[in-house]
Amino acid sequence: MSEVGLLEEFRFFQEHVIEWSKDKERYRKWALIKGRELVGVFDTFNEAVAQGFELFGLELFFVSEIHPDADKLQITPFIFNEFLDDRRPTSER
Amino acid sequence: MTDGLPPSGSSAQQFIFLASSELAEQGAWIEVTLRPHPDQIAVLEKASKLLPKVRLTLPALIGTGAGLTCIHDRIAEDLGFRQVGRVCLSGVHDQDTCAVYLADIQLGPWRQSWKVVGLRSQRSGPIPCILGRDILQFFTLFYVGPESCFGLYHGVPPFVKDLMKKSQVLPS
Repeated sequence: MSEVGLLEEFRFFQEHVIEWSKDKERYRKWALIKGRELVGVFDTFNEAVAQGFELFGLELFFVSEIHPDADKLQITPFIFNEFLDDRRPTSER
Repeated sequence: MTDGLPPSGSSAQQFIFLASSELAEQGAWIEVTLRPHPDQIAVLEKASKLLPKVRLTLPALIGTGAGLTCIHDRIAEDLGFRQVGRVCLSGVHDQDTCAVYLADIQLGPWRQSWKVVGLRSQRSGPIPCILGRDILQFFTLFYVGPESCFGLYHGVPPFVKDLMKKSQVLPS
């Protein structure tokens, strides 16, 4: 798989998500981000995605829920380790 | 793996019940169908580009321990999914992030445009898809251990609502 993209947008989101989460108008809504710009805040995931395609077409855009933990992936340790094992260098297994 | 039973009765539109002889050993697996998001298809068609595959049906583990629904990264690649985000894997260095993809996911009669996390793996992987709490929040899950079967219901079945009214719901 190719390198994971949207790093600039992800960092911008991480820098602001706590602040945005404290805003009742934005909390639990969906952010559409391009570069280091918050393009818009939408009620649903699908609305944010539709606007992203409308504005950016084939270019990548970033969509995430405005929630303090939205940038983290939590998986039960057992399942997580199944995947983590594959990510370690062979010598560490 | 599961032996699929067709939905039956008047609630066939909402109930999915599956029997599994290995429920205790392997967990609850259900068949899901993944497709590229319709808007992505439209944008690619407009640009005269084609997606590698239009649909993939695969077994998914019902994972109440997963916050987000995950798929093997290779599946996202095969279906030409569009990346729309990233997430950090908990407990790992913060540069170790996964891509979040845009997908069209179907689970029985329920079909929705949704986001899924791509998990990288070198091997073919025993878990091609984990249905996380982000999707399970729309369902009622029945785990009937003594009968080795489980069920999913989109929403809350009326009899469960009745039971909840009659029972004391304990704080977690």
